[in-house]
Amino acid sequence: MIRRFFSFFSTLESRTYYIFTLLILMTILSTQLISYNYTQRSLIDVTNTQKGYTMERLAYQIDTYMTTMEQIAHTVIDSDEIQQYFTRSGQNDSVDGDAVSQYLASFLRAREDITTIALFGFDGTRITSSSDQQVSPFSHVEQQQWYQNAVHNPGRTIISSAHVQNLFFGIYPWVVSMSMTFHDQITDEPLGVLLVDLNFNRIRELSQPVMQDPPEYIFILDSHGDYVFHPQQQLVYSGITTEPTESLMEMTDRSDPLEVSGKSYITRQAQSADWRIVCVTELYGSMGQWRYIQAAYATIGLIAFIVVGLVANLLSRSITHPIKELCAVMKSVDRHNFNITAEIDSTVEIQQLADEFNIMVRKIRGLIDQIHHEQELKRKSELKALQAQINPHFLYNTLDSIIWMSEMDRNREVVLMTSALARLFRISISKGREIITVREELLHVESYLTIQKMRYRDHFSYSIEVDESLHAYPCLKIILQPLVENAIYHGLKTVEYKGLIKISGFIQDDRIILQVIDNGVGMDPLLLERLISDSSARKQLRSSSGVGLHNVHERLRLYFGEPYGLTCSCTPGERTVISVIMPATPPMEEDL
Amino acid sequence: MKRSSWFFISIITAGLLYILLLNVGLYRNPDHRQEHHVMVVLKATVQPMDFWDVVKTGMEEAAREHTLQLSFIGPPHEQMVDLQVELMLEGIEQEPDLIILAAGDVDLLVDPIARAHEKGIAVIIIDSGTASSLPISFVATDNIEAGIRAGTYMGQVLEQRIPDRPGRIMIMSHSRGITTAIERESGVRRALEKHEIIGTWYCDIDHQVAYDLTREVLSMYHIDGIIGLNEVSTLGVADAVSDLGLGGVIPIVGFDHAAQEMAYLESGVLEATVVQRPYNMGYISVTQAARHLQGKPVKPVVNTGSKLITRENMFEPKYQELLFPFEKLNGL
Repeated sequence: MIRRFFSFFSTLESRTYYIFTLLILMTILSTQLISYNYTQRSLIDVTNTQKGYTMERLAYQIDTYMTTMEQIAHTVIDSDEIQQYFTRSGQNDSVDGDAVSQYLASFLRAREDITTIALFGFDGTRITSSSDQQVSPFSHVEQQQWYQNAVHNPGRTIISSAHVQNLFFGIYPWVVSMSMTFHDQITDEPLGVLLVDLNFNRIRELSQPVMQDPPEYIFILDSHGDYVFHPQQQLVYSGITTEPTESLMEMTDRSDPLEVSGKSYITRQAQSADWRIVCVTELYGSMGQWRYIQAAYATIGLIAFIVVGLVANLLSRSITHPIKELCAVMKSVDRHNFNITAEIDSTVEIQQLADEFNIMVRKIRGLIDQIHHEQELKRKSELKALQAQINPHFLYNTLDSIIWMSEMDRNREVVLMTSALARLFRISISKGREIITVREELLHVESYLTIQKMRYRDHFSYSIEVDESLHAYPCLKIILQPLVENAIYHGLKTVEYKGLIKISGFIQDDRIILQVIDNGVGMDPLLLERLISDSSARKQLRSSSGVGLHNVHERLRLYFGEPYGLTCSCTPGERTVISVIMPATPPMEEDL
Repeated sequence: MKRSSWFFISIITAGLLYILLLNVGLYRNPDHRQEHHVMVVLKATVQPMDFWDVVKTGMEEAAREHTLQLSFIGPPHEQMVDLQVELMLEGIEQEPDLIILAAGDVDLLVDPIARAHEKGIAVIIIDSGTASSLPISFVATDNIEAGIRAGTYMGQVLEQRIPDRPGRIMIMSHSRGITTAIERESGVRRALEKHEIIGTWYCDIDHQVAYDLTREVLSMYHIDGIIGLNEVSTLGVADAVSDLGLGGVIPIVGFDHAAQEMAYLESGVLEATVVQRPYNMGYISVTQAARHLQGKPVKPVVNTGSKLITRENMFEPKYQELLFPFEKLNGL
């Protein structure tokens, strides 16, 4: 598995691809996460700022509300009706209780959010805004929190938490009680306690959450950290919902939002009542905008990743593809094909590489050609050397014969032989040309035969039967003479009867075929075959004549190519036929 | 590797990335995209029952938090159990995602619950149970415990007033078939084993019947204390005792917290009342419903608890909202 993975990872292409993709993937992921968090943060911040304003407005509203109520309370206690009622009530019945009650009720008519206004004199006098209802005997006014706080803080305005008022029997409204002591305006003697009950629904209405999404709610704490109001009061008191009230009490209006268990808390102080208004927002609630942002981020990420995947793919390919092409070109060099140049359209680096490679291949090709050429030259010179080897040997024998004939005063024969020898050499040299005409070649072989026939004293006879039409065709020089030499030394030298050498020539299928036929003992056809084609066979024969056949064959091959050369057919004891096969190229101008 | 398969791998990886990103988000934001419909089948809808109003308030608060859609159905009066069965079967046809049921009878609602179960609708029972084992959760006051609270307090009152002999106690129950009545009665009886319970009378959730029965029983027997097992029974008993001028003479311990009961408690006609936490019951039942619909586990039984309220603690801040629920605000 690991090996497979590594082999999977072993090509440059896959490596580039995966490293690119991985890097970019990580970049995308981290940017996405960072920007997502940033967006989330900034959205929360914006929301918090907005919330802060809302809360400030709420605190301001509550403050204004309380101030208004306080003014009403002061209007009540400073009014003549109240002052007269309480300062003289002990001695004088001139002030009617009902009238005072009516006076108080007029405030209730003006302000619907005031539930009750009541005054409790220290002398036991009680008067309320509802003249038809008696204060409940079970209410124990003097033990109530609002009453006691007012008494202990004379002259100050006391605002209670939201509570159930049991002032009148059987009626239990939720109110916020504002209470304060009231005094005789002249003597400043405390007369009693004023109670103004405010309908708590007014404050609840103010505290209704503004936004539904994200879900939020508002609750209010008093200066001791106890709840003035909580929309889930019962859940709070039964411990199902908990709020971090202690931490909240330490916060100021300027504090950063407190974040506890996925909720964000902002507080603002309502100075008049010394209340702390707390707005709670679910940080990651079911907010439509979050879903939208997430979807947007995820989609952008997806698109970016697909694009990156494709680009990485293209990039890795654009790097590796030229290299692969170069590799393919190099492989064809491996198969001995040097006639190629790498044409690769790519980056400068790869192009340089390809150019260098091309230069290298070109150089190698040049070197190889040079070697070929040199080899050929070497072989040619070798062959020339071999060709030249025969001649001095033959010359030596011929000159011997001439000397011998001169001594015998056979002048006619000396002339014949010498002129034949001269012709032989003239043709042999032929101004250094390799190619001569068939006619010249035949003249050459005839001169040779003339000399040999005289040397062997008519031990054999010969005939040359080559059509005139062939005479003009070009021919490699000195090809028939070695064959004739071979026929004499291996076929006729040892026979008792008179030998016969016949030279014939004809054209067959664009080939010139020249045959040397003898009726000597002949040679083993296999040996003959090997003499022609295998240069090492001549060593077995320990004779220079074998060299002649092979030399001819090689030269023919060298000049005319593969299909040409020597063939032989041989019937031992009857005759031997050695054929020269050459291409029939058109006759050339005779310039000799 | 062929080029095409590389492309394929890119696409798959991209897909995985997409899912990953979405899930990171979803993990932080539980999905509430589609609003689930939760149907609440109540025992009574018309009869002015403070208890059920508060249950509904708690439910609505939880539904707002969890973005659930609530609908309420139920017969006008608690006695109409047949109608409740019928309404529930009709309600099932609307294919809500979940049903919250307050059963009017132990046995009669077993079939509708089975029907809902067949349809793949989960049922949560509140307040009073049934014989069915199919509901996924039971959110209610532990009524035996509540009965014991009432009985124990009655025992304490009687021991103060007549320490020399066992008291003679009358029980006014609201129904023979509703589990709340059965369980509370057994709790009361368990707590008052030392005393003599002369009998249990059933008013069938009718105030007038409770009133008449009480007057009749008081004219026949010498009674040292009366226990009313729900709001209607308690008020019937208290009205009768008050009218006979025996308020404060014959101690009464009741259940629930109707405004009139509070007045009786303050004036001393009622010695004590055992209150449930209807707001919590409603809130928790809907929270459980939301959890179930989100595929989270729910508790099979939730005891929402009960409190004994006397004259002394009735105005304590922590009980005020329980006893005197906030009025509904206009426009909400």
